[in-house]
Amino acid sequence: MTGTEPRVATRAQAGTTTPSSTPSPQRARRRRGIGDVLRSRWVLVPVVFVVMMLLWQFIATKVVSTELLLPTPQRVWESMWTALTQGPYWGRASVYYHFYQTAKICIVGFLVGSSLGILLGVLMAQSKVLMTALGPYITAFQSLPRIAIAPIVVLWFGQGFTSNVVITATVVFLPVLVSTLSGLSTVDRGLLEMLRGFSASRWQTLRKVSLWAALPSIFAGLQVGIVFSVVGAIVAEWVGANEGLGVLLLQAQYSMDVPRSFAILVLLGVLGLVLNGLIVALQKAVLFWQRDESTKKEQRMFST
Amino acid sequence: MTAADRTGNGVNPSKIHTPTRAGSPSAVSAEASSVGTGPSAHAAIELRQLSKVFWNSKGEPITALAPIDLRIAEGEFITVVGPSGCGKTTLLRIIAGLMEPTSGVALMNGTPITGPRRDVGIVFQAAQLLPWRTALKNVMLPAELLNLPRAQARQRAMELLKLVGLAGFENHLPSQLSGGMQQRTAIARAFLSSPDLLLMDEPFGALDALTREQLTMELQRIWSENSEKSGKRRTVFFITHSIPEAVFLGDRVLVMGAKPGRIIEDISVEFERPRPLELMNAGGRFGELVTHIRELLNARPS
Repeated sequence: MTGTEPRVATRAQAGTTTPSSTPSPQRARRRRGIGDVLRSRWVLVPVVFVVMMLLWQFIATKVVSTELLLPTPQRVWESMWTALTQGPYWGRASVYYHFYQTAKICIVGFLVGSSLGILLGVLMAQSKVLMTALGPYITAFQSLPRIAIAPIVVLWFGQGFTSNVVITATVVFLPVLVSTLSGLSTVDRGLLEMLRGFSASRWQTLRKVSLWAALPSIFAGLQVGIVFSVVGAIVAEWVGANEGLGVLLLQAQYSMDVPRSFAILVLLGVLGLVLNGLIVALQKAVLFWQRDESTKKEQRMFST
Repeated sequence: MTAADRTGNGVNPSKIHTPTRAGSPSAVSAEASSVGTGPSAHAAIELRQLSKVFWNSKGEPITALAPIDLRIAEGEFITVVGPSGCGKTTLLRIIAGLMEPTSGVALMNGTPITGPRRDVGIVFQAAQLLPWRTALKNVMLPAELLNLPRAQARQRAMELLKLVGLAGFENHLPSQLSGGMQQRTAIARAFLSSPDLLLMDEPFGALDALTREQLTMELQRIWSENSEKSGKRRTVFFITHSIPEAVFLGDRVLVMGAKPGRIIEDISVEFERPRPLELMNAGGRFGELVTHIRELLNARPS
């Protein structure tokens, strides 16, 4: 035969890698040594934190030594502490309120942008015509800096929530679209042929196999998208909002309150981490079969 | 879906200029209607001057199947052996409706095969289970695709899983099953819609010898038990690399040769069923048949 032969061969090999004995999850579990503990995130992340703080402290006191350029970690912490604990806990003078506004824009913008990305990705994967017709325009649009589009969006939708969400959505859209497309185009051909052999319709194939198989890839795009959403939200707020962390950041900079600027940057980082954590948690819940596969792979690595 | 083109081994469809005969759709339908009005009972599968030609990257034709004539009666267990490259998978794919012949026609129950059919079940070389579905849900997949009543399909899937020795594993994911268990699940899936025709492409190819022997026995059992229930034997087209397996399972063994792919010999095997595993060890007629086929294949090295 011809071209299919090598693929058939690799499929067969892939089949044999699963042990033919009944798998027992307990067998390969290895005791965790001290090295594993030192490499775990609960040790590594705090260690890096301390090192960074010391380095920062050193540079801020010995190298720069003016708060206008680089405040010490302590000053930033004080500024943050004041913002978090003093004064009103809600309303325009509260940092919580602005944090919430930015988070809201991130989440709604992410939901809108990623839904559109997945939807268009699915449509484009189904239709080569659509892919050819839209491809270059999407690429061109995507290469425009958001800061350049933002004023126009604000012109159309006015200051505030709607325009901010639109700007954020345009940032989230592309990574999700691309990952959806790539996920759908790399679905195992053996599975697709199986579906065809069982006379599945195109819609059935998409619903029962392709979308599922593309999920890991889609989630990779969603993770990039959620982190980008913070970038999008800040750009949006700079151009067209009167509340949110982006606005607070501008205000702090205008008033030359550099420790406060840094404190807000830290809050933005925290926001990104939290949002990313949400997606990772969702991913673990949705991709339950992958969790199983990866533990199995680990077991195999340890057992050999 | 362009899977048809893609799975067509990279053949440029425009290059399939109808070479010999019966290439155009009108010719096919004309022939089909003449068959439809014919008096004789239809064979389960009938191939008439069926051939398949691929073009390689240099544009040279490769004859995967030289014109083949073949009749398979209803309820026959056909096994196919041959060296790799003899076109046996191509033949299966054409019968499955996953690939079009270059010339000639393939008929199932008297009607031309134009695409995948609902009354056909397929087992592939790899199990091809959906990793996010439990064994039970995987077996039930054809019922969803064919819109069969859900509750009934569920019950039947449970029965089938029991039949292939997977009772108690209904809720396991494929990653929690061994290779042999995965392949059993795939076999149960192929039986779910009670297909008239079962196509099996080296279903045990990736398994170790012991599991393979075990599944060979089980396949015979499932096939005969299933037949008792419906009162009708299923037609099976079973490709294998193992000559003893072919002789053991088949009512007829088709021995294929390569370059060009064709059927060298069509051997009837008349052992009584159910055939015991010991048959494989016994010399006698079984050994003779195996030796004969081996000689056939060795005399024509590919």
